[in-house]
Amino acid sequence: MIEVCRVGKRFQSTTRGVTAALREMSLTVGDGEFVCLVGPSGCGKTTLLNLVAGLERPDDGEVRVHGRPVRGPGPDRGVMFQDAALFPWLSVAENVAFGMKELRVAKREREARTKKYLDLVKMSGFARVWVHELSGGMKQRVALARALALEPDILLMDEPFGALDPKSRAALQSEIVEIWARTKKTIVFVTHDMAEAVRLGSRVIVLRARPARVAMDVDVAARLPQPRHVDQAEVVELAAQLKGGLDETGEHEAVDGESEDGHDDERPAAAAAGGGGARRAADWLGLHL
Amino acid sequence: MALVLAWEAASRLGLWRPWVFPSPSAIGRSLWSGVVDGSIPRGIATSLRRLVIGYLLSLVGGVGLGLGLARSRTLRESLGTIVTGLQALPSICWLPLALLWFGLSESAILFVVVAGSLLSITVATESGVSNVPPLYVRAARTMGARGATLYLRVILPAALPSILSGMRLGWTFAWRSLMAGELLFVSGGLGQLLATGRELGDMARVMAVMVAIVTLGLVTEVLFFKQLDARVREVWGTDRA
Repeated sequence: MIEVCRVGKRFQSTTRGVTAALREMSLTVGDGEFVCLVGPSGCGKTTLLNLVAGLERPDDGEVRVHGRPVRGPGPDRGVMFQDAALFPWLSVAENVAFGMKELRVAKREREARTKKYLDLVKMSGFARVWVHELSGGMKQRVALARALALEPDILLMDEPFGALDPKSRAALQSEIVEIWARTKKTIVFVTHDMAEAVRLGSRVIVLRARPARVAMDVDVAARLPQPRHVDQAEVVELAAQLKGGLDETGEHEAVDGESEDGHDDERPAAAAAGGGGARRAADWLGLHL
Repeated sequence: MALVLAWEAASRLGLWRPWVFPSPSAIGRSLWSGVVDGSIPRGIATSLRRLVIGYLLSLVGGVGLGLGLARSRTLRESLGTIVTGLQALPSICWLPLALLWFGLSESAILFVVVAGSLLSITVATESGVSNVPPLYVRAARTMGARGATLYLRVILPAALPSILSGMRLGWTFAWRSLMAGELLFVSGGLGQLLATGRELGDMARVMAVMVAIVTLGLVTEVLFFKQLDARVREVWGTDRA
């Protein structure tokens, strides 16, 4: 169980002073839920994930995992980033074993688990390969195995498929749902792609920016059973409804399904600047913000 | 090879006086006699010992200092300018002070060697460590890495390609400093052989020692740095970029 209680997080930016990424944010994620956090750039969804991961500290309020306040990152919460962040000086198997070595898992157990999770992500043939020899999708598979190898109850994923080509993305989407169903992990998945959120999550939380707050909280599992597909009519329809709901309430940033900004920068400084100069610059460049 | 033959031919034709620029065969003879009488092997042994000790000290100190500079703002603010400034100073300039501090001893020459190579390793380590992608550190922290192991298992390996280029540079600087030091104050080693050759007007001997130095440089490059570099390129995949 993840509890976010009235959390506030501010960032100091050199140009605009202090900006609040999150203010009085509260939400609860139950065990075994697959929650997708979706929202426009700058809505604080990545900040929220980092707070749960313990990579950042809240300025106000508290994040609790299984009732204990989060004091820092820990192997009970596996994290995946948009960039796989595999270590290029280690082989695929050594990357998967990295955390287990850190936690002094015995060698035999380490090897067994490395094999098990590489099998699970369908990368068993690549154990001895160097990272640079893998494609983007393969790297994310290994990153998933690396996160799973520590056997965390919670998996935190920050747009992990955002930079992948549509085919690898679709494949990884089905696999993460399958792994979730099989292992009963709690997953918090950040994305800016509404269709992806609806396709994956048992629950979709739509966030709105400035100030960041929960706009909608939808129990998708009750409406659409898995397996789903991004092109499935019901998925497209629900995604469109949620998008419409967000626009209706006075939000004009698109929460886009197929935008070109797969690498949207979630740092609050950039987000804050998005209202002013960066917005104008983006307009000038013909970008779709 | 053709160049060496042309050089030999030109020397035999008497285009210049042999004691100014000796022929390859004269150098070869001098090299051989130096090897046979043991002066060149002894010189190599002495110089290499100093080089290796001084270089290892620089390596440990340079990586440590570079790491410190990259991670500590206080250290950077207090030592950063000094490091950059001293880097521009040829290490042989330290010799008078080193002689004063350590006397005519091994320590003095080691000091000059360390002064020559330490900072290039420091600077390369600092830049390597500062350029480690923060995401690596974040990822490692989510897997429970903290403190010293974070440095040993993530930050230093990630900075290795940069550190390696500093190590290469440091090695050549260590050689230069050592030769300058040995030339200037006599205490065995290849530099001293050069100095005696000069005093005796024996240019064949001087060039024989130069050949020995070049050979040593090539051997360490091929046996050590090339291998290390090739390994890093293979692992990181930088040879295909």
